Amino acid sequence: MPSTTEGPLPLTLRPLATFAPPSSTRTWFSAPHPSVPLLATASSDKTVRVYSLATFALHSTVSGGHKRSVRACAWKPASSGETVIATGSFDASAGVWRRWEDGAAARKVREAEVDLTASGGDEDEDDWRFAVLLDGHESEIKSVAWSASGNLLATCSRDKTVWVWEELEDDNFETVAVLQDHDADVKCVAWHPQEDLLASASYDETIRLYREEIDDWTCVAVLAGHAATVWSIDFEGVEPRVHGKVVKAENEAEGSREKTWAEEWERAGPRLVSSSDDLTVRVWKRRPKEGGSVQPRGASVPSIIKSTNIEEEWMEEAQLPQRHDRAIYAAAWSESTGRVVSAGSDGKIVVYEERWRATGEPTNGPNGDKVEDAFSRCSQASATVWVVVAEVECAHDVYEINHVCWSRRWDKKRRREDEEMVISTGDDGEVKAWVLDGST
Amino acid sequence: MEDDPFDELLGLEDRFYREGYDLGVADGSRAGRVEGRMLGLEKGFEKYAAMGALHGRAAVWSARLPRRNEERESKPLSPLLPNARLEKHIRTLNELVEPASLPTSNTEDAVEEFDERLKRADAKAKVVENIIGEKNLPSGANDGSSGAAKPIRGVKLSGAKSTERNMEDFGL
Repeated sequence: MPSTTEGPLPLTLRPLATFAPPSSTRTWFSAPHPSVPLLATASSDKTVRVYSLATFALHSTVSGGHKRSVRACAWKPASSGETVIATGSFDASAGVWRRWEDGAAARKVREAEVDLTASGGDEDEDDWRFAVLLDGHESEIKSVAWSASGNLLATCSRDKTVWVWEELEDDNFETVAVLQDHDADVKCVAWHPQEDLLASASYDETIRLYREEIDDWTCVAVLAGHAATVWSIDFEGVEPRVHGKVVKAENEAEGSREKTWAEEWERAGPRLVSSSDDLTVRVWKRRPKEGGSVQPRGASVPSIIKSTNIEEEWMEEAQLPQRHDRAIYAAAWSESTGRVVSAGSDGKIVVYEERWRATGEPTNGPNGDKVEDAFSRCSQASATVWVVVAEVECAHDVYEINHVCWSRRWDKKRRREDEEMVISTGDDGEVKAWVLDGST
Repeated sequence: MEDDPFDELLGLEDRFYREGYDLGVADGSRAGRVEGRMLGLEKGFEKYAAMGALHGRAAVWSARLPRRNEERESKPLSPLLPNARLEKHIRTLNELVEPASLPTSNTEDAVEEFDERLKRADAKAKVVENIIGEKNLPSGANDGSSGAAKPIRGVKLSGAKSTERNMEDFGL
């Protein structure tokens, strides 16, 4: 129950479309392609449905490779000439599929012109080729993620491990690391947008960060604070945005707190948002190392035996205002607007935005609500505060929402080139697109 | 004060209670020590046996590394394909399971260190297993390792919605 609602929210989440045809079984996860107007939805019917983001119609289906539900999927970033998607399934295997080595169909989709409501199409060109099967996990895979450079793939599973795979030439993936640091089911993995830093969230209530040190992947930080399962994590984009505008230290006034905030951000790098069963969405930030950018220090005595050097320090920066009354299954941080969207078991979709705190304005307290500074968890009053800007209930009728994310808007009615929409994936098998109305 | 002739009689209950209690404590602590020692030996054996098994595997893998200059006439081991990273993994694994450096004292720190190394060695073994499984694909050799990267041939796209009705995935 929201304790301090100051009138109506500034923005409204309006349903734009439902991707059709919907799946007849529960859908788990949707991933918008980084550059092409395609959306991949992992479904309980063992397939991944690829929908067009421009027409909201089904484009193709990736099927035949998994024996149980597909739980997660991810498009490979920075892959030229072909579209590559990774899938993670409850059958403990992950798959990598390829398509379109520069065919005519690919060009048409990129230009978002072709009418994709017709099924089939050019059969030869439209093959989703099952390129690699990645075996190794002992139980259900919960999440897959590509690193920013596209050459590393991370998978995590109920067997408490996180695996890192590296792509070598020609459909050859090599296991680079098996990380057994969590004590329970690992729910989600996510990569830093710039560094080869991997984060994982688990049922054991912690988030762990890993990095490759001296040819060995090790856990470099443990973020503890959540009181229950951490369901999902997402990194901030490469530039911080407050109230929708990019913040750069060089643009801010000398000596202003905005400048201090921006300088600290630039030394620490993108932050992390996490959502949990404890009904909170939290933002974590890295403590910047003294003297310049964050460099993972090599251990003074390189020791393979001892692996207890915690190289990085991360701390909880803020808790977003509490709006959910049941588990929050997903939280996503928009790269283009800096807003965070969360959704979960209670069927609500909530959008938050970071604002500069007005002097005298209370900051986010332990419940995320605004409280007086004296009771603030942060020892130093933060320069920014998070507010709720939009909310919608029963987004998928009575069903739970398994995943929510941001996507660029591609359909003809978009109002701006860079307009964004929210995509929610529910237990009802439906994937819905929402737009934000109202001025910010 | 004169001796109370009834002292002994009245204190009988007390005395028997105390005797019984002392016997019980002595017996219990002895049984506890025996049981604890047995449990310790059992668990210790299990852990070190696991470590030893990993050491054995590491030894065989190192022997299979193809960097030797000496002749290997009598060795029936199938050589591993050359792979710099694989070599590093195997070498790290070897260092983790090195028996001479394993702590054997019964202190908190020693136990923690041992457990940590066992866990990491286990993970490393999985990595090596997986790499070898994948690398040895052309020769078809199965090292008892789990899984391989099998390319599956062209799966036809289906434009229409799947009409299969699958049973609900349970156990989530």
